[in-house]
Amino acid sequence: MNKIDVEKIDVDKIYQDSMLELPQDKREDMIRKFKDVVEGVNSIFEIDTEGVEYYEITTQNISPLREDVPAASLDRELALSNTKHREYGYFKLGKVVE
Amino acid sequence: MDIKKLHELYKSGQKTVVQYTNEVLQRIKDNDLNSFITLNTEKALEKAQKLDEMLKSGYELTPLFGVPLAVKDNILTKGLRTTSASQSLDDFIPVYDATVMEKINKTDAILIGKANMDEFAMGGSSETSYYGSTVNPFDKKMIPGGSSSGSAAAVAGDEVVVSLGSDTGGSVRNPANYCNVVGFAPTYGAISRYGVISMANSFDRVGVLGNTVSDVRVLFDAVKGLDENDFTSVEINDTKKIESLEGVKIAYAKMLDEYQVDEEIIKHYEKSLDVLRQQGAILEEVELKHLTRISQVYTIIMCVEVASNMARVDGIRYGSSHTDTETIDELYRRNRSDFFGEEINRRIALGNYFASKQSGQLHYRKAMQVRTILKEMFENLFSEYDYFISPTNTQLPYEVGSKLDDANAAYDSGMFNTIANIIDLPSISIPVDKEHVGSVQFIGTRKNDYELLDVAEIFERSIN
Repeated sequence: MNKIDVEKIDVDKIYQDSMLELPQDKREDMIRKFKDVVEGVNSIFEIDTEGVEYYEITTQNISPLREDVPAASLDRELALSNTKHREYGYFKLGKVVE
Repeated sequence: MDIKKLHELYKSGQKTVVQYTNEVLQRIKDNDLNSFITLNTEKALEKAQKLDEMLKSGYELTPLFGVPLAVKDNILTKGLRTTSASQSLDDFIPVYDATVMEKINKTDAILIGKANMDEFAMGGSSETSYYGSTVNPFDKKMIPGGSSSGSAAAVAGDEVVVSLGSDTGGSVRNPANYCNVVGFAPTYGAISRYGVISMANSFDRVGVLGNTVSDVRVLFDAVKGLDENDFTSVEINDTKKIESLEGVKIAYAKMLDEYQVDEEIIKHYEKSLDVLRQQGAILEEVELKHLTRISQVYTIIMCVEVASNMARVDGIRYGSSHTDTETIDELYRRNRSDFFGEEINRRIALGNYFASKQSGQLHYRKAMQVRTILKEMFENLFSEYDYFISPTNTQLPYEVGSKLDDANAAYDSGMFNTIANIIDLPSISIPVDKEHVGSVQFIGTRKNDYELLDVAEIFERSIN
C-alpha cells in the first residue's frame, strides 16, 4: 500500500471539521507540525498486513450485564454544580434546530 | 522514604503523623518542583490528627497507615478540584470519586494533593500542562518524563511516599525512569478506570509509583479489583509466590543500532542482565521485528481514541465555557480552541483525520492490523519465556523546552514501554543505579501481576 502524500492533506479543513480553529499567528507552524506527525507514521505502510485481522481489545474481556436494580441517581443540584449553562433546573443549550 | 521506614518512625514515636505530613507539605514548597496542581492541605492534616489519636489508643498500623500519597490530576476526587492539567477544567470540582479513590478513602493513606501532569495525559514531559512543567528533582533543568510527571517527581523528591498515575503509552514508567523511582503499569483493567478521565481507552490503565517494589505492591493491593462500573476491569489474584530467579526464563531485547539507545542506558541494561544471570535466571537474546514501528501504531490509534474522548469536554455540563456564543457550533469551536492546549487540539485533528473519509481510514486500519501482528509476536515469545526485559527508555531526559518545536517528541516515550500498552501486558520499571537514570523494564504475562512484582523485588534486592 502506498504512503499518504502529506502535502495533499487539507489541514485547514480537518481542523474546521473537528470544530477547532487554527489561529492565524500559529497557522503555518501548526500545519507543519500536523504534517510532521503524519509523515512520522507513514512508514507503517511498509509492513505487510495481508490477511491480518484488526485488533479488538474487548474480546479479552467478559462483560456480563449488571442486575437492573433501581438506585438513587445523582442529586440535581450536584449534577448542575459545575455548569455555566443552566436554566429552570436543567442544562441550557442554544438552539440546535432553527 | 519508604513505608517500612515511615512505620518504624511512627511506632517508635520518633515522628507523629501530623509532624510527617507537615514535613512533606513544607518540602513541597522548598523543593519547588511544581509537582502538584492542587494541595489537599487542610484535609490531609485533619486525617493525620485523627490517625495520631488512633495510634495513641493502641490502633494497629494498617499497610497504608499515615502514608502520604499523590494522585494524578486526571483521577476524580469528590470535592477536590480535578483539572487534568487543562484550562478547560480549571474550576472543575468532581461530584463523585473515581473507584480507585473510593478504595483509597477506605485506607489510612493521606492524600497530599493532585499531581501535575501533561494536559489530559497527552505528552511525555509535563510541558503541555496548563499549570507549567514539573521539573526533574535530580536536575531542575531537565524534564521529569510524563505524563505522570508530578506523581514521579513527588515520590523522588520525598514529597510523598507513593503515588497513583495513569499509563497510556508509558506514562507511569517513563517518568518513573527519569525520576529514578519504581513505576508499575499493571494488566489492563487490573485497576478500575471508572472516574479516570479517559485519554485512549484501549491503552489507558491506572499505575502505581513508589521508591520500592514493596511500596508499589502495598498500594496496588489497596486499589486493584473488579468494578461493576468498568466492564474492562479484571480481578488479579496473588497466587503463586516466586522466591528465586533460578530457572526463570527471560528474553532480553537485542540492542540494535536503529533503536538509538543511549550508551549510558546500555551500560545499566548490561549490568542488569549480569545480575539476573548471577541469580540463576536463564537469559536469551531475542531480536524482535517491527519494534521501531511501535510508536507509529500507538500514535495513530491513540489519536483516534483521543478525538472521540475529548468530545465530552465541551463546557456544557462542566468545565470552562464561553457564555456569549450565538450557536452550538460556535460554542463547541470556541471552547475547544480556547480552553484546550495546542497539543490536545492537534491530537483531536489527527485522530479525526486518521479516522476520516478524507484519509480512507488507511492509517487506522493499518495500525489495528499491525497491533494484531505485535500481539501475536509477543504471544509467541511468551510461549517460550516467562518475562521480557529491556531498557525502560532509549534516551535520557532532555532540557525543559528544548524540543517544543519537534511535533513527534510528544508521542515518543520510548518503544519499549509503549509496547506493553499496545499488547495489553503488565510491566514494571525499576532503577538500576540510585544515582543515575537508566532503569530496566520487565514485561510479564496478562494477569500474572503478582509474579511480576515478585521477580521485580528479587531483581531490586540483587541490583542494590
